[in-house]
Amino acid sequence: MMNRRASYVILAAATVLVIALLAAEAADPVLYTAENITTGAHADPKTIDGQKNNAAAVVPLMDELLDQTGTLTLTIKLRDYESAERDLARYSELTSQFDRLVITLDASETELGEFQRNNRKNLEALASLLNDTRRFDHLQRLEIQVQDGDQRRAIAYEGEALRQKMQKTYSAYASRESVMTGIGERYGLNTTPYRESVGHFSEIVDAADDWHRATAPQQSPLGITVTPAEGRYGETIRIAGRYARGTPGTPVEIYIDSRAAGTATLNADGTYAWPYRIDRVAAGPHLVYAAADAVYSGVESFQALPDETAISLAVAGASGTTVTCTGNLTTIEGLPVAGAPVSIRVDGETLVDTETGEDGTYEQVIALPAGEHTLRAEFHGGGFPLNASESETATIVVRGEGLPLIPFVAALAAAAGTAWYLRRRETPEAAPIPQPSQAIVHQPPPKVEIADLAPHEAATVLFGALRDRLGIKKTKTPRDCARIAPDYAWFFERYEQIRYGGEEPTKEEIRRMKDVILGGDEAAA
Amino acid sequence: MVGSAKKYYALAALVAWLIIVAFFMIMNRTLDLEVYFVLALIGILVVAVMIDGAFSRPRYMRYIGYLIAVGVAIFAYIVAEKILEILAS
Repeated sequence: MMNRRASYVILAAATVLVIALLAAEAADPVLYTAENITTGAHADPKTIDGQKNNAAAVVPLMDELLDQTGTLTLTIKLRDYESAERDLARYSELTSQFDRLVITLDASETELGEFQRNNRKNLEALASLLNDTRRFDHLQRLEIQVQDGDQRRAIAYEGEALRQKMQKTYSAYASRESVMTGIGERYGLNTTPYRESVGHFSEIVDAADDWHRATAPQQSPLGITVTPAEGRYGETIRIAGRYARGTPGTPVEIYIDSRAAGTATLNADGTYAWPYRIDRVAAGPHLVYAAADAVYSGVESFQALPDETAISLAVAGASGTTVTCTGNLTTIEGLPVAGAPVSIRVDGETLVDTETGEDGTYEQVIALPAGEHTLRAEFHGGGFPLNASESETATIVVRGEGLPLIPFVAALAAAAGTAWYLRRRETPEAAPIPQPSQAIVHQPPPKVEIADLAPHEAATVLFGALRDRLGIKKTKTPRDCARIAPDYAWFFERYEQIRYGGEEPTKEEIRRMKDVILGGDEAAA
Repeated sequence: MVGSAKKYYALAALVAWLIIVAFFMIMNRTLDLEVYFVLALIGILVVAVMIDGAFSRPRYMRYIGYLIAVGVAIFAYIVAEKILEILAS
């Protein structure tokens, strides 16, 4: 008795323990997948295979990237812009793939990382080359069509600006050749297409030079100087000059990279000055020229130097399933960066985009499912003379909105339905019970031979014999028989226990049952 | 005696089923409690039908009934949650 109680207590304790352990995992029921293995002690072969595949994919991808530079520069050289667009799109896609791979393999600090950074710059250079060449073509066509002297001069100036820009892009591209081919050769890649691409690039720039020599602008009476010749984000450079022939008050248009950037006014002494704040321009060289009274100045340039940035992230749980991410983006000197795109990476995957305000701060509300999430703010630097930066990773637990109502109601309904079904099975519909007087027809006692039979077989024979004697149909079960002939209920119930309960009858019981068959009604009850 | 043996055979069959399910889930490199629970419930339902007698109802069958009712309620909760998830996506 004591043992029985102890076993129940142990069972109950074990049940409670298991339920508690399971309940702790109920919010996040995926206990294990090959992807989320992080323990040093256990490495899943599938994950390792995946990394091997990644590593194996690096070399063909690098080969394809180098190959693509050759193809792209060739199509640009041949002025097949449609194919060039396609090649550039393909090159851009391969570059993105490679970037992801380098991040997956955590190889940014290795040679692969260097290759990736140079390749990114090459992509920008080739995209710029395609645009510039196309614009150059357009200018050449315009030059033929346009007869007006001023317009021809404008075309010549823009051509000059483009030429200088292309020259600078080429120098940067050519300077990366040794590094790229060096890494490529160490990985056993075919670097010939890349070398060819440098050659093609050079030919495209030379063609632009030739055109320039034919259309070179004359010495201009409108002077221009840019001081200082280089600057960082937020710094101001001064674009100034003298226009001896101009009348005071003449507007002087300032062009940066062939786009109108602002207007200065000519002073009484024939000079003009315009401050330009380095803001939304990419790092690298930029060309400046001025125009007044359809007179164009010479072309000057300034260099936007890349600056480091710092981005912060603070996460606060707002309501239910949303969190508010705030932070600010500054240069390393603490200057706020306004209007810059900021991406918030959720759980290392999804990106949510936002933008900094005038004071360099940003705020973004993100809806998240319940559970633990990691968030990180990233600035990619595109379009600014600023380097990319990332914030610290913040972790937040989103509680969610508690138990959702619909599943809860569904669970209650299901429980109620099951209870109803089980209760219905407990109380079967009562079959119509025939009246004993109508059903029982007493027959003469039959002859039964049970001497050689096993006790439970003997009971079966006796049950059949009594049923026959009382004239009850053979389809009736012992329980039916007990209802039809309540006087013999003990006989039928005992038989049911023997037949279906697996109990073994004693010799005495068999004898009593036999007596009922032979002895008639007086033996009953 | 026969009745008790049936009870233990049923329990052994159920445990074997749970081990098989866990084995294949690990082989498949996913161990999801929800899927495991649903497969375990199916196992209990099958075992309950197999051991349920036509004429008699032992006490342990009534206890299994309570267990099934709770299991079906949790199952309904999981299904409704999944439907809401699909509708939301």
